[in-house]
Amino acid sequence: MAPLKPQPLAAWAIFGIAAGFFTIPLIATVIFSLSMKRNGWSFEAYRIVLSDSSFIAAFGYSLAQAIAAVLISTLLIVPAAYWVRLYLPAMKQWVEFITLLPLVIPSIILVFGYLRLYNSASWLPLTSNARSTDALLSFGYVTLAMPYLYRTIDAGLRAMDVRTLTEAAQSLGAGPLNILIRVILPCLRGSILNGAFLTLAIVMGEFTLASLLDRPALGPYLQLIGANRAYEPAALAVIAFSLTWFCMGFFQYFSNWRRGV
Amino acid sequence: MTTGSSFLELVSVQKSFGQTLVVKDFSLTVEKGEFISFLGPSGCGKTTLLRMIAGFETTSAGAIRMAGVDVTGKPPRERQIGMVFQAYALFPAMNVFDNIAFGLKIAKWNRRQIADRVAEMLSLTQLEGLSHRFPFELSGGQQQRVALARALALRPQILLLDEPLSALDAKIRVSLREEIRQLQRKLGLTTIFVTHDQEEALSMSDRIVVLDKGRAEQIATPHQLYNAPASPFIAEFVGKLNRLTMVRGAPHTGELDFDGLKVTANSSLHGGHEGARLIFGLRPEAIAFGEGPAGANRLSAIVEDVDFLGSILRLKLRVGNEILFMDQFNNRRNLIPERQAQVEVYFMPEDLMLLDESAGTA
Repeated sequence: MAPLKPQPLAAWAIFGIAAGFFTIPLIATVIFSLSMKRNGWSFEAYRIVLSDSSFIAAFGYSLAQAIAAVLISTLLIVPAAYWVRLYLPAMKQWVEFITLLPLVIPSIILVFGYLRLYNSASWLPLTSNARSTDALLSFGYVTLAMPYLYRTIDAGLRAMDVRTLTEAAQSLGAGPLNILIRVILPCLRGSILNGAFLTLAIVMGEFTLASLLDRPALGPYLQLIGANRAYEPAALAVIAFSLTWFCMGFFQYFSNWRRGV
Repeated sequence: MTTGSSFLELVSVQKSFGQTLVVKDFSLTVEKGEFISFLGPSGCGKTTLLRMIAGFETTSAGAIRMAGVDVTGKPPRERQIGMVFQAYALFPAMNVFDNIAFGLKIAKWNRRQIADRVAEMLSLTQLEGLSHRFPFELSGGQQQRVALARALALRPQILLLDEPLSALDAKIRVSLREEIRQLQRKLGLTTIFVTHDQEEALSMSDRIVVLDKGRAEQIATPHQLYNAPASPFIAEFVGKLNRLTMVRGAPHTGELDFDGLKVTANSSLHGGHEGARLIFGLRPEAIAFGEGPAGANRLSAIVEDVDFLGSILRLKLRVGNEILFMDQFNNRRNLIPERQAQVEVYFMPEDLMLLDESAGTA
């Protein structure tokens, strides 16, 4: 069989088309966001967005929700994934199936289920005040983030010899909680950061849960601005994109810093 | 419950996984400060036994006592053991200091005591200056030393070593096994060592337990094990062995027929039925060039092959239809025999080890 000949021109053409597919709309959005003033380019749309106290409040709220979702998810998923891997390997396929469910059940069904279960007339009226609705929203985000966080954490556990590390710690007198906190969790720092980044990306743009639970998150704010303004939504899209890249850089930095784990 | 002077006791221990019995009615007593090796082929149950002593596996039957205390149902953290694993099992997110200090922190030693003890362990295992390194910055030998220091830091009652040298290269293995043995003697620490490497077991142990199919085939000193194996399996598993089938000739003289040649065994083999087939073992180093002293069994052999192993010269000899391996110390003043050369060799009757007397009548 003749060896495959390199096709540099075809490869570059495919790469150029793919790169254009992603970058041209982005460049157009950036240009449009800078075109608010008729007599030249300006950051006026950005100034308006960033000086809007509602944006800052919505951004802060969603960020707080994302942090809460990451913390709750980590506390829930790390011990569960560790336990399944170590003591219940036969259950692994079932746990994987359950963690995939949020991907096949649309958020609209999830939130209507929440409203039916936790409305103010139910046995657990979580929607009866703002704080408990915030908590309900956080749990909703934990559910949405579960497929991603579980997989990143499970991949992290797969990359180390969980059983031997656990046995080594047990032989040194450590109990389950100490093993989890002192041995397993530090080794999963990269995986948790990876999952946290994905959770952040999901929560910052999420609309359905926040809107139907009537909470002042970034998703409903973006929708409101998009429906009523011209240049500001483009500026918001660029800001959101920049934040995403900042988070990726942040993750990369910390995962490289994790010192050989 | 206190039982005699033994420090570790395994009493009729059994272990089964489902229907498979992997350790069968195993009993052993270990004295304080003794170095015991579990030796056997893969799947013989040696690691399972060690894991039962550590508490990582439950026993299906029997009891385990440490310093007179029944620990059979206790979890590993309550057994005061130190364990070193084949895969090092260092905590990857901790540096050398924190790895060694891990058990001490769990035991709530104060900061000063921890620093002193870690420094002592670093010195003992010759790791000074590496305390801030992370496991991935260390060689295999250094990592295993850290694992040893970590296991010893809490002053365990018993040190358990699960094939700790298997992942290391040949030279490091030899130097580390000597270090482990020196440390063990210095600390007077009761140690159980699991290995499938007979050389390691022979060189390090006070006693060796040879396991096969979950059973202890023989528990003996290395010298006894090699020179007086209790079964054909041990004779063949420990060291290299020539397996020879001979036919009993004149029973009153112990004369045997070896492929048409007359050879004699020692006086303990006089008697029996003429014509019975016997299987003997003969160590390669028991064969030597020349005619030997009076009473030696002399053979004329053809050199089939010569393996130069450095300090040892291993010759493959053909005697009639039988193949014999012969080991000689390398001596630069002696010539290495040519292939197909005819040589005269001998062995003493007492070097023949009877492996099987029930081989039937010829």
